[in-house]
Amino acid sequence: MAATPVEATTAGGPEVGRRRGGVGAFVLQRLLQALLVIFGVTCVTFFVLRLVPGDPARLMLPPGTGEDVVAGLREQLGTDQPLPVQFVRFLGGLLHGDLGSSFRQSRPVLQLVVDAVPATLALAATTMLLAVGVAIPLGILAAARSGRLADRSILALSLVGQSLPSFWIGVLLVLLFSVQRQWFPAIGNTGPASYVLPTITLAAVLVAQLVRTVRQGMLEVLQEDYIRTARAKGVPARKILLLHAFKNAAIPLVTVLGLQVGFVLGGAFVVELIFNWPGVGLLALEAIKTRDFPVVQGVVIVVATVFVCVNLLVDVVYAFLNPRVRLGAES
Amino acid sequence: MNAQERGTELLAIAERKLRRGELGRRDFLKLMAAFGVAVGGPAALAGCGGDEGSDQATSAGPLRFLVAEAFWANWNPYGHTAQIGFKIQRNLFDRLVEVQPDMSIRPGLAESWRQLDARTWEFKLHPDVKFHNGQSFTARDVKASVELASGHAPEGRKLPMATLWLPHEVAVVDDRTVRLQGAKPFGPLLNTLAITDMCSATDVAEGLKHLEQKPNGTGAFKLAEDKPARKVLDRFDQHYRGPAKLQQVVWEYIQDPQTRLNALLAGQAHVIDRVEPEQVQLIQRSQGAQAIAVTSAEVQAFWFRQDKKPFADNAPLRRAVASSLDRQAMVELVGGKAQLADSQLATPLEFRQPQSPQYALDPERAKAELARAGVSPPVSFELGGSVGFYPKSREVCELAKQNLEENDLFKVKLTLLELAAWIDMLFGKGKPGELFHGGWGNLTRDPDFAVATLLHSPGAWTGAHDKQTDALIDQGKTTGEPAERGAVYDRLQQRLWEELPSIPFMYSDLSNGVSDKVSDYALFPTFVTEFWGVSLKA
Repeated sequence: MAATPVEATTAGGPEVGRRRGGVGAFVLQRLLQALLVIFGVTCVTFFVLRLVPGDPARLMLPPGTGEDVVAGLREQLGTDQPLPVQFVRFLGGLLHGDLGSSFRQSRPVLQLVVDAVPATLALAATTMLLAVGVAIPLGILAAARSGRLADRSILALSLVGQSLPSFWIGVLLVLLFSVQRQWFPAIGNTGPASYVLPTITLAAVLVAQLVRTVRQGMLEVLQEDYIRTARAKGVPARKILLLHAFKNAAIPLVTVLGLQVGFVLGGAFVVELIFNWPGVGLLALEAIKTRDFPVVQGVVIVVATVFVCVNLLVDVVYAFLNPRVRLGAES
Repeated sequence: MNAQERGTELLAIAERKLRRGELGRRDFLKLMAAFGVAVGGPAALAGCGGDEGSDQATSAGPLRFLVAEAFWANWNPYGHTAQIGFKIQRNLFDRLVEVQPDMSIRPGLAESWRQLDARTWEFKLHPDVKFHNGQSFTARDVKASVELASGHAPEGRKLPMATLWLPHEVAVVDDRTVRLQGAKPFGPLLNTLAITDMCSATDVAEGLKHLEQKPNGTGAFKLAEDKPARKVLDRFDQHYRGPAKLQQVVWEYIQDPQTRLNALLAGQAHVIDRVEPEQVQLIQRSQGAQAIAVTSAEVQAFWFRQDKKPFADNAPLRRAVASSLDRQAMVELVGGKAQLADSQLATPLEFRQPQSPQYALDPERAKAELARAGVSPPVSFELGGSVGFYPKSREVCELAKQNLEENDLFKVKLTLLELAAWIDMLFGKGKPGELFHGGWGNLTRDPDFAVATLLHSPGAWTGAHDKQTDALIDQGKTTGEPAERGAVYDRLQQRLWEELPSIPFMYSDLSNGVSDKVSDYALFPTFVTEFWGVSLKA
């Protein structure tokens, strides 16, 4: 059940001091959890990568190369050392903000990742903006017209959106709007027009999920007593929907949006391949192919950190919006 | 001050007013929204307006070439044997002699040459050749480059390219004359020189680190921008053959073949590399682009582990495998300009002779060979193949398994892996697998490149150890006189076809997609690409 205005008013009451202390503890607790998650992801990535078959040194040399040359390159890359030694070295570097050097590019991983991150984040941002911008009005409309043609059409559309895989939507959009019409670029990031197709591709599935969340939240809130009271007092329907109902229905949306950041970052890997978008997804895919361990590790750590930070932020925002969350955590 | 700068300033003023309480939060939000529309709107509209800017750039601007292989960060031309390295170096560096699209050799930095005796060659260099840094090219640079290529690397490191060379002493006669003398005659000399990029002696003396940082060749283009997935090459106006027609060539790595194709068809690329055979028809049907194809110098084969049972020292068993495969069907699966192989040497290679029998699918012959091999069917073994590198490799391997198991003569465990894992399998401890699908590309038309690595002992991962084959390969390498070499390679091809250390089934197709705006673009069967004579219509 969403928080009602009656509950919200208690937030300014005599318990404020205690709750402020509660927020601090809550944030600290979440922060520690976030650090643990990032460390866990780092460990898993490091060891899983090295369990996958594929010797980076062998991949960098031609077939006729003698074992002595291959061994020399392994030594140079540091892959000749036992795994625990490699791991300790890696962690030591990490504590100093050093993600190591790319095996293949001979450049610092941090530089490669920092160069690629803005493109991915920009794509993720436009995707979230488009998804929220489309999903909220559609969700509200579906709830307001519940059971009628508009609602059914929106639900059907969202079902279609959720069923279609991103790569299929992406390829279709490229064929229609780049190859046939040449309205938008098929590859790369050359300006605002380049964002259109990758953003739509990534946002399509997201819109479908968010529409359902908004609709469901709105339907629940619209059954509340305070909405009935507002209607009885003659508040205009539009005002009830947008001000009174949506404000409370938006709380679960915040949580869903936080979780969807992971989906957007994961989906970006596929979309970046289709559109040759110069982000971390493309960087990671190539690094996986060539067993460039430091680059894969760097990308995973950075993406995991972004994901964890966004979720931490969502948790904190949610705790502010809904005091029962942090009270639950305290108890 | 442009609109964006004005907007930013207004926003800063509004923020200050908000902090001082002179502006309400609601008004501030309204202002921000208005700012978004005012600044972002025109930008977004400009972007959505048919991509005019980038279209114009495409038609009048640089040639955009999309490649299928990730770039190598090491600019030392002898520090790798990556195909993409040879491709781009072809444009950045020059060589004493140059391979042509028909695989013949023409003079390059050497105007002329003559053979003084069986082991000694003299080259007369082209005058007025400059490196990109302005330094003049002389015989000293040839000496430094050849010594580097043939294994005299500074810092005692053995460079990968040295495996292709026999060491030569290089004597500088004068600034424009140089003499190469080998310990033995070296048959592939001219062809090897055709892949020996000329570096500056000063750069070589600076050490390998220096060579790896930035290319400084005499080539028709010089490196202007060096990003991991994008290299921009600007025309070098002082090139000895005259300036190239193109002002700039942008090389971009795009790993997905469909994405490369989309870019070509959308008019965003002028040339795309490694077009898959099934994409050729799409390009042909499109407007504004065409597909060009050649049979390449790459041989695709099934390679036996020759030092492991059941195939070690058992040629009849290997022939039984060959007679159980429908090689023609495999070639048809791949399509394009792929050709059925009839020798271990691909069609464009020198001294190549078609061999017989053709090893067509013949179960009766397979049974007879199996009886001769002294083994009773079914013979079990593992076939390893890679996916995502050779077009249709999965289908080829699956067909091979189906062929081999059809008459209950063999029982095959098929292992398909992505490229890195497949390479790990080839060199893995305990030597997993007994038969492998793979290809071997040739950088020149000399047959030595085709046989020296995998068919001569120790044969890298193949475990080759046939003394007669070794002797013939060594003889071919150290014989200078062409007729004599021809006779050696005749005998070698016969031997290889009879012993079958590998079953070649196809000379690969090489297809590129080319925009109609591009003229004089030629495909090299060796997979290199040269942009010197290429032009782009506005």
